[in-house]
Amino acid sequence: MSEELNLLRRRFERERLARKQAENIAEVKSRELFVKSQELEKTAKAELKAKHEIELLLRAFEAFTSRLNTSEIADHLCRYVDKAISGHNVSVYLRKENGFQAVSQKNSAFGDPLGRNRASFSEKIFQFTELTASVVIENVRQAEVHHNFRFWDDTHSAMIIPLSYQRRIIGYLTAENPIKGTLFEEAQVRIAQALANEAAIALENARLFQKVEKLSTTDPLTGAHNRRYFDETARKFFKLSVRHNRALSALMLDIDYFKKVNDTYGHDTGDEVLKKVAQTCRRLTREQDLCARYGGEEFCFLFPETNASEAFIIAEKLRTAIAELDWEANGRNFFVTASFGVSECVHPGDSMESLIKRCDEALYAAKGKGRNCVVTKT
Amino acid sequence: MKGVVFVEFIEMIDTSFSIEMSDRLIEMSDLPSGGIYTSVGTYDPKEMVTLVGNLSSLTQTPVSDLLKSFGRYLFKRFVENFPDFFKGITSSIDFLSQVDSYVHLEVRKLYQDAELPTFECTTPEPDLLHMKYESKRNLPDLAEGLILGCIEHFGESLKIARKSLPENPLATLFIISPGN
Repeated sequence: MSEELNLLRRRFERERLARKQAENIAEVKSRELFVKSQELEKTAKAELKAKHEIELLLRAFEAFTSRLNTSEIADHLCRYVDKAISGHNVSVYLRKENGFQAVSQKNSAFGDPLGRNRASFSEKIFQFTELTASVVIENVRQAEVHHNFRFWDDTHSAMIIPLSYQRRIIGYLTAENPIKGTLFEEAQVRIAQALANEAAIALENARLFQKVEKLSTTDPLTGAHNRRYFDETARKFFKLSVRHNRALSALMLDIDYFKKVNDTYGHDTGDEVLKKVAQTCRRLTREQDLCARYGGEEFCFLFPETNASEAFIIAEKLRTAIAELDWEANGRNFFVTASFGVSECVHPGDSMESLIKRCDEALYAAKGKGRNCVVTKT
Repeated sequence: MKGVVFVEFIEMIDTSFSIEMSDRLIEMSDLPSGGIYTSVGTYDPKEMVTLVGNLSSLTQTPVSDLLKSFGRYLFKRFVENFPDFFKGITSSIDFLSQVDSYVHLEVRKLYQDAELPTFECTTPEPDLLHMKYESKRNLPDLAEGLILGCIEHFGESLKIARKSLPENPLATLFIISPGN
């Protein structure tokens, strides 16, 4: 009996100890699992962050490359950098002829954004020290070198990222942090840099596109639009005038005896005359008017919302202004005059070709009338 | 060796012999673990060798027979505890063929450090299964018992032939074919 009791006691003791052992193992395992789950959570969070970053970069790259306008690209760069590093004042400066100009700003960290003096800010041209690599300034109040960058009153730390294309600095991206003691993290600089790099390519493409577009529509000597641009734009003006039944007038200007000017005073003087006449035309016409160098010494205009008598007044102004210009070449003073033809669009049934033809005929008539005068043919 | 094997071994002795027998065995074996086993623990495989050797002396049964019986017993317990492994499986050859690819894969998920045997299966002819068993523990008798348990579970009449492989002393080839 006692042997049986001993056996049961031993057995019970073994089972008790086994349970204890199992509990210990379970505890160790659960601790291991907890650590693992924390690691997993950390990894998952990092992966999610990376995924968001990639998505943001993709969206940004698409936005940059689908645009051919530098200020639109700069706006998108500001917006996406602000999104990526959230809560900072972001600015984009682009190189102009004589310095750098702020073309876009996004402010989410500062109470009242730059609205207070945005206009004056964007008109200002900054002379930055050229930076070739990104810089993070810990405390803009204490930093000795600001590279001539201007920061907002509330700014504490800042980063400056050059926008470069083939090692040429085309602008700068700056991000400013108003909270004392908070620096830009490495990851924030990295993503801002990635956005800046891609935007720089798009900005350069857009700049070249705008340059080519301007070249293809501008007369290089006078800076006025060329005939190609006139023909394309005139068609749009004409269609709008027909659709809305609004007045539209054409004006042709031809410099009198221009060949004589060239022959007597030389081609350089002839070129000067053309330039000055073009300047006078720009000065005395409105922004919505179309003005182009149409031929050698001939300029053509379209005036929307303008009837023939109003166009006549503009032509008279131009005629007087040109006639009053003083010229001097080879020590001799001379005068230049011009003849003008005016025509007005007749609704309905008129055509662009007919409008220009009538204008040309009026100009011919002005020449016949002794030049330096305006003739209207409706 | 996984604790579950020890726990099942002691339980088999309890059921097939008596609890006195398991008690005597543990007492006489003087094991480092003291014979205190939990299924979630891991123990020195040498303890199993001692236990089987001593059980053989106590019961006057050859070690090989004991291991085969234990294999059959383990298979039954396996069926009871893990019915999911048998869903959609209708023959022992089907089951045995996927021990490595499925069962052991699942075991590995729970016990990354488990030192599992491998069962390399080929079917040179239909109804003929070659199973190459290889294990660090080198317990072909236990493996044979498990295969027997499997055949019994499916109620089939298959015979098992065993062939040692001279080129690999840790491996044994089981040839499973129809008939008794």
